Formats: sequence, C-alpha cells, structure tokens
Amino acid sequence: MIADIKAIIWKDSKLLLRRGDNRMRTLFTLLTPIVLFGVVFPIQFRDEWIFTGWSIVIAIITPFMLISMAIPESFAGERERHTLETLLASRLPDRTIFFGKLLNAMVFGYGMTLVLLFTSLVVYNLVEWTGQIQIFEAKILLADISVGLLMSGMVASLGILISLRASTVQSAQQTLMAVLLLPLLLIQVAGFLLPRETVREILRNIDFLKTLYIFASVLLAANAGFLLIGLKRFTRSKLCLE
Amino acid sequence: MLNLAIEIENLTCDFETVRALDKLTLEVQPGIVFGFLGPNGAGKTTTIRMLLGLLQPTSGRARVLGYDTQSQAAEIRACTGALLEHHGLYEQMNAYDNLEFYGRVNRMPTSERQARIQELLTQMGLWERRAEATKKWSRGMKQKLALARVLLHRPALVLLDEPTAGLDVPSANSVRNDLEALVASEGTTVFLTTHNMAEAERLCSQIAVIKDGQLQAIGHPDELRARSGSAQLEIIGSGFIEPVLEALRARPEVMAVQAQNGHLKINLSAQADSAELVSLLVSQGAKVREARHQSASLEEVFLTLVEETR
Repeated sequence: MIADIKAIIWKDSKLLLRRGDNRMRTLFTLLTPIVLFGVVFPIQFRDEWIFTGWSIVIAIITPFMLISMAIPESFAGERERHTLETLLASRLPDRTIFFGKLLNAMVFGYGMTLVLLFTSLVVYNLVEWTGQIQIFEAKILLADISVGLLMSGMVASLGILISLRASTVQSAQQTLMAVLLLPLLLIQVAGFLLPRETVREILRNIDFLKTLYIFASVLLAANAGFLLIGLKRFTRSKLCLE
Repeated sequence: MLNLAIEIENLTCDFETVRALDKLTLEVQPGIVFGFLGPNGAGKTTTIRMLLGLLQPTSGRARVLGYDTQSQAAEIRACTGALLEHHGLYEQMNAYDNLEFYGRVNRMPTSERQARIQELLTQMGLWERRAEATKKWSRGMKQKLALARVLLHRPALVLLDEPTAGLDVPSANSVRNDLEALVASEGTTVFLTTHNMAEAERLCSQIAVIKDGQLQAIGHPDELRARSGSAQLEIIGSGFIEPVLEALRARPEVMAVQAQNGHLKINLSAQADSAELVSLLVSQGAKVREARHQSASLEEVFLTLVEETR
C-alpha cells in the first residue's frame, strides 16, 4: 500500500508543480507565504513572535491557503482532465487512491508550514541576534506543530470530500472556500451583533491554552468526521458514472 | 491455460429507467482480437466498465481471466489494460512520466520498467519525444502513447474502447499497425469496440454485434457475412433503362436495384440464380460486358443487424 501511495504522491506532486501550465504562478504562490510569514511577520512582531504564540498564525493560515489551492485538483481535476476513469481502471485499491491524494495535499501544506516556522526562526535570529540562538517556547512549538497538522488534515479531508463530487476544479475551490470561511464569517457577525463591552470582556478573559485545546479538539473531530464520510463516499461506480 | 478470456452470462444493467445491457451472453477465446460492434448507446462502454468491475450488474455475471467481476475486480484490473473513451493521459506531464507513473502503479521493478518504457516508446516511434509534455501532441500521438500505457505491464487482456475514434486516416492506420504488431508479438487477448467496420474486419477474428444492450449476432466476419444471406450482383454494361430495371424488380429474388454510370447493382436474396438474371437483362435489350458476384460487406451486415429491430 505504501508503494502505491508513493506512486500517487509522485504523480500528483508533479502535476501540482506544473499547475495551470505556469511555473511562475506556482513559484509566486509558494513565495508569497514564505515572504509574508517567514520574513515580514518575525521582523514586525520581533520578540512577540517567539514568546507570545503569534506564530500560530502560520500553523492556521498556511495549510488553509496552500491545501485549499491544491486539494480541489485531487478528484475534480482528474475528472476535468478525463483521467479519472483510467486511474479507476488501474489496479490501485480505493483507499490507496484516496489516501495518496489526501497525503499529497497534506505533505505540501504541512511541509510548507514547518518550512515557514523554521524560516521565521532563522529570520528572527538574524534580526534580533543576542549572541545565542533563540527558539520557540516548548508549548508554543508544540501548539504550532499540532495545530498545523490538524489544520492540514481538516482542510485536506474536507477538500477531498468536496472534490469527490465536484464537476470542475473551480467549483470545488469555490465550495471549499465558502465552507472554510463560514465559521470566520459567523464569528465576525457575532462580534458585530454583540455589545462592544461583551466582546471586550470575552477577549480579556480568553485563556490561550484553553482556547487552543478547544480549537484542536474541534479540528480533531472535524478530521475524523470528514475522513470517514470521504471514505464512505469513495465508490468506483459512482465516480465512474459522474 | 485459460479456457476463456471473457465469459459473460445473462449480464443485465439498469440505469434508473434505462436498460443499458439486457441479458448479454458471450464468450471470448484467449489470444484473439474480439470485435464488439454496435451503434452509439448500444451498451459497449457499459460492458467494458462491467468487465473491469467499475460498474456492478443488476443481474447476471461475468468472469474475466477466470476472475469474477463482482468479487474479484481488483485481480481483474491488475492483469488487464484498458484504453477507455478518453486517452487518460496527464497532458502536463511528459510522455516518459506518464508511462513511469503507470509502471509504478503496476509495481514493475525499476530496471524492467525503464526497459519496457524504452521498448514501447521506440516501437511506437515516440522515444525521441519522450521528454515533451503531451499536451502539444497530435491526437494520434496521444492515442499511441495511451496504447503503450495499456500494454506497459504486459496484460493478459486488453480492453480498447474505440481506440481510433476521431483520428485521421494515417493516424488511425498507424495505431492499427501498432496494435496488430504488438498483439502478434505478445499474444494478448484484445476486446475491441469500434465503429469502423474496416478496422474490425482487418483486426478481429471474432465479432459480436450488440444493439440496445442485446446481442444481435456473433461469429467470424466471414460467418456473419454468410449468415446474413444477402449477396450482390454487380453488372457492367449499357441499356439499363427504366423498363429493364422494372423487369428486374419484379423478380422475387431481387431485393433492390440501383443503376449508375453503366454499373448495375442488384441486391439479392440467398436463393438467387445470377445466370437467370443476366439472361433476363439480355432478353430486355441490355448489353452485359461483365458480371461480378459479391457477398455483403461487414458494414452491410452490421446495418442489416442494427436496422432489423428498428
């Protein structure tokens, strides 16, 4: 199974890098978060970047941005390019195809998250050199690594679920964006509707660690749910007829 | 050695209110090119999808290379190669990588995979262009590459769904030549659907005709022609005026008469005596220079079979 998954990842990563026939666009997509999160943010936030947990932004936004760009290609892209049926007619088992595509997106999104965390550390140390190397506090590093992984899994499994049924990459991207942005929109609406004093009170009383635990638990539950639904929906006959 | 490459028994497939296959029963011997002919919507593609285990039948069963299509679909897909409605190539990837991917999928060892890719691309005349992205290739070249992909892991059975559809004459001919050569050298069983009767006649040693999901006829192309019973008499001469043609049409064994530029084509029933018809023409004042007896072409047999039930 591992060799088969590696074959899928090998092929999908090649297609990902040749996305839209334009290598410059791919390069630009990859460079934007590197410059923003890896260079600009650590310079702007300075010590806060290392010691107050602002780096969690990388763990949340990077998988969100990169995986939501890559995962719609998984099945909707194969369907759009008329390559899906040939892939389904191959000897690859259902779960291998499913997990191969899921892992490819996760490796891309989570890999970039780790690269950005490391880059931001390097940049911070270059700018704020104190004679010794500064790294994230253990609990911040653990939060960044685990939230990044859970976020990658959640966006990838939700994206694959949408991509399984979408007829085009564009429609899959739009649906995925709408679903992912809905919670943010609800928070914004709630912030607008609630009295200002109440909002200030909530923000004052937020416990970073407690909020993180709740957020991670929600992500974990979403991961498991989307994955199970995705696996159930992956049936060759349905994919073939669609 | 397998007794049968494909064994289909009362295979039925319903899509909501449409019956795509209706109690289809047929057998395919190993090592032959089997032609599966039928008009659009006859059920050819559905049959291929069922043989690959991509669709489940409503009733009936099918066995491919000894494996059941419902319970052993994975085994079937491992030892078959399929060229479906679309060529299925990743056009942003180059030719070599397209084959490399399916070589990996089929778990071919690296050295064997590399050698086989080189062998097939060389045979197809594509080796020099292996590093090019296939999106810029002609349709014929893509179809050849897709054929190479199908044959890559030396499958015991190849399922081809209209492999030359949409190709110009030289490209289609080239694909046919490649297919013929590769089948001859590797002894693969081929299940081929096509609309091209000349292709079927040239490549296939067995042909089945299907319409509305039902089998209309099966046999060697010569058998089908003989079974159709119809024949044609072509006469070259002059004086094929309307009263002469009327006299011919009045004969019970004459099914149709067509005169054009000194050529007279007479479609006959099985029991026709052509000598009598030539005598009749002469007695009516026509001059006969040459008379040729011809059996029906496969295209005529096909048209007869698919139009009979219309």
